[in-house]
Order: sequence, then C-alpha cells, then structure tokens
Amino acid sequence: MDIYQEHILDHAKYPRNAGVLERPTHRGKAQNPLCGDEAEIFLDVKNGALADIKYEVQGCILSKAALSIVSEHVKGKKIAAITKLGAGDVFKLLGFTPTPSRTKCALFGFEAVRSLLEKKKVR
Amino acid sequence: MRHNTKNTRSDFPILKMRQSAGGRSTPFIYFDNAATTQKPRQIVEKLTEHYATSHANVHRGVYRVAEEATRRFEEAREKVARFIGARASREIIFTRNATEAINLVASVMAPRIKKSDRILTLLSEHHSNFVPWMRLAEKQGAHFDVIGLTPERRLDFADFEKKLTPRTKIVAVAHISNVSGYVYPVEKIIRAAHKAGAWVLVDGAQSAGHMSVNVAKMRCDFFALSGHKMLAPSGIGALYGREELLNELEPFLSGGEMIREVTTESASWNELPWKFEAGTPNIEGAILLGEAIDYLQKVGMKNIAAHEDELLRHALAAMKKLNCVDLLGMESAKDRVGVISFALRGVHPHDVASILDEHYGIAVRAGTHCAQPFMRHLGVPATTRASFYFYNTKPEVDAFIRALGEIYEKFSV
Repeated sequence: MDIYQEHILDHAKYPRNAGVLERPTHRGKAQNPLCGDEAEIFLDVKNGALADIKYEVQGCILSKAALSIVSEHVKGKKIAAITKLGAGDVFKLLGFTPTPSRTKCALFGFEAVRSLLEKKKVR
Repeated sequence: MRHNTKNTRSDFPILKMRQSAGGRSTPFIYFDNAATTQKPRQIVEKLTEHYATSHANVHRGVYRVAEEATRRFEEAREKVARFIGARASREIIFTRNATEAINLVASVMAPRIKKSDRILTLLSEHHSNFVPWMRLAEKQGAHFDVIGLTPERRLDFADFEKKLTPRTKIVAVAHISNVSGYVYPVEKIIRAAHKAGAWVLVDGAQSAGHMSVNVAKMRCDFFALSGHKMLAPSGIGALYGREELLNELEPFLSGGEMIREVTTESASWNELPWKFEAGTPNIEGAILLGEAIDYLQKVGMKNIAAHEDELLRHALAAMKKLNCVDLLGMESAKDRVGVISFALRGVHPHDVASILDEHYGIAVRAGTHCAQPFMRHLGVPATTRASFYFYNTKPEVDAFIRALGEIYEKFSV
C-alpha cells in the first residue's frame, strides 16, 4: 500500500487547522521517539464539545497528514465521541492501514489529542 | 588485489531477491549495513552441518559429540581472539552483542567507581555506549563527562584533554561512529587516558567487520563487538578485556559455568574467560561467528575497507553534485567507513527512507540511530543513513543517487 497518495500529500503540504490557540483549554506535546517527530496540540473545549483545535507539527508526511485529517474530523464533535475513537477509526479516515513501522506516525498526534481530552482542562 | 564483488554477491541469497517497488520489479538494494549485515550461504550451511553432526552442550558432556561441540565453540573463541589481535583466547568473553559487552564492563566496574570519580564518553556515542556509563555514574555518585565534537563532527581532542582528569576512571569511545562513519583516533585517546590512569573501552560494533583491528597494538583495555554486524547471526557478540583487568574484576552474571566451587556458605569463580559466561552460552552463534570471521578473512579486511572507501567516495561526490543533499557537516571521506547520514532538503528523513523502499526497493535507515545527543548537536530531529558493505556495488549507489534526485523533485516542500 503506497502511503504517498494524493490526499495524503495534499494534507501534508496544506495542513488544515495548523497553528496555535492563544487561550486553549488543553495544551500538550506529543513525541514520536522513533523518528524524533514532535507536535504541540492546542484544544478549546466548550460545552462538552471541541470548539477548536490547532497544532504545530514537525514531522514526516504521514504524521502531518494524519494530524490534519484527524483535526478536521474531530473539530466540533462531542468530547465523549472523540475519546471513543481508536486507531482503526484513524486508519479509516486515512484510507489505509499503515505498515507497523509507520503506525506511530499516523497515530501519535491523534493519541495526544485523545489523552488531552481525557485529562482536566488547563484553565 | 582489488576485491571483486561478483565473487561474493552470489554467496548472499537475499541480494538476488527481487521485490515490487514503484509498480515494477526491482532488485533489493541493501544499504542498512550499519544496522546489521546480510548473511552468506556459508553461515546457513555451517549451522545445518553443526546441528546435523555436532550439537551438544559445551564443557560438560564426556561423550564425543559434546567434546566436538566444545572444541568448535572454543575454536571460535580463538578465531575471534586472532581476528582482533588479542594475546590469548581467554581474553575473549562471548556476549549477546556489543551492548551486553559494554553493560558487562559498566556493571563489574561499579565497585571501583567512587564518589567524585569521573567517567568520560563522547557526545556522538550510540546510546549503548552512553547510557550504561550515565547510569553507572549516577549509581556511584560519580561525574559523567561528555567529550564534544568539532564543527566537522570529529572528536574534539582539545576538549578530551581538558575533560580527562586524574579522577577519570574510564573513557568509553566508539571506534567508528554509527552516524558519521568517522573513525576516531582511539590510539591517541588510549595513550592519553592511560597516562591519566584511566581505562579505555572501545566500542567496535561498527569497526570489527569493516577494517583490520588489533587490540594489542591499539592498547585498549576493553573492546566490544556484535556478530550480526559482521555476517554472523544476531545474539552473539564478544568482549575483549585485558587479562590482568578481567582477573581483577568480579563476575557479571551468576549461575552455571562461571563457578569453580559452591558450598552452602560460599562460591568461588571459574577461570577466564568462563568466569564471565554464566549459563549455557549461544553455542551455535559463537561457532557461526568463527565461520563469519573465516569468510571475512578470505575476502580480506584490507579489500573490504578499500571497496567501502571507493563506494563512499563515489556516493559523497554524487550527493554533493545533487545540490539537494545536506551532509550535515560530514563531508569528508578521510578516516571514514561507508556510512553516510544526510538530510534531503524539504523531505523528512522518515519519508526519504519510506519512499526509497516503496518506490525504488532501496533499504536505508531513518531516525536518531540511537544517538539522540548527536542528533541534537547536528540540530536535526533525525537523519537518513545509507551504509555500505563489501557486497554493495557502484551501480547500486548510482540507483540510490538517481532516486534521491527524483524524490527531491517530487516530494520536497
């Protein structure tokens, strides 16, 4: 399975929801120690839903694209629905299941978002 | 006589393999030799022959097959000793790999490290020759010092001399960096360290299968190697230790084999090298390491080094010409083996490696190479690394260079 498909390259080149939030309710860093990739996630939760999501990511095409695709999917959704999402849902959004060596690239941003939402707000 | 890859490539079944990449059938180009090398058919045949004729536990049985197994196992130890220039085979301890060899030394040295003693290593080390010393220093309340690198990513010898003190108990350095391929001036380091009263451990994981090594001439106190990086299977490695030091040190693991006598009150230790080899060893691994050494010596260590040097120079020149490759300060081919870490402008190292595999059938490594302090020094989260061995060819390097150019054109952002 070629992971370098048009929509993946497009998301990596033009990441949706990239940037920072000035006053996030949740904020955290994620790391992929395998390849040194890093992401900082900013979330704004209002009334039990994810009102806004931004992130800064330094990483490979797959980690950028996956975070972009996930951010589009979770924005506006109820927190309870987002925390229920799993790896399989992310692969469905991507349109393929990455090889074991690239699984972490596809998931590390999403896992950071989910674990932030499972934690308390920062403000 | 120059080494002819035609004579050796046919010994490696995996190099004949074809795979599908980029929608076509391509040869398998293996440039991840610094991680592990491929195995010649002679190794596989030797294993089959060993199991079919001579397998038994060593040093125990009185029957002939057990005696033959023991003879082969100890003959392998002698081959390792001769291969790296040890004075006697009792200076060779079989381990799982270089990592275990280094951990062995760090562990048995602990009682000799006092508070305010110093341990010195190098910024570019593989974590396996960095973290064991860091932990040892922490455990004993000693200082952990790190030698810096020059802007050319070579060992900063002035910094080494500054950090080497009479309290420095051990200096641990790689013979060759697994990231840059640079050969460090270990003889010079050892001379200075011995003058200061420190022992020196040389991590030979990247050197043992790539150049002639002579530990007696080098005068190192310890030398670690991994079999799988020199044609042998994984799970077998060796530690060389100077006999006088090994005799002074207490055992590593306890159990069978390393024992002379046990009573309900006390135990005494076997003689070298078995004092450091508790439990049934990796018998067939050791025998195959001996077989790998025979193979390497048939090709000739000088020929191997010369062939790698030719590939290295060819690759470096072509990469410089591409104008999209950043060699991260490691431009020189001098005192270097066939290891090249680099960045392709605008393409993440992980993607470079993935695309090389999926579209071109070329296997390289991407990541931190277990050398995170070195990555931080280079100012990159990771690099892509291509590493050659004697069975690689110039046409393979050319295919790799063409691929890099195309990947840059198509994927650079």
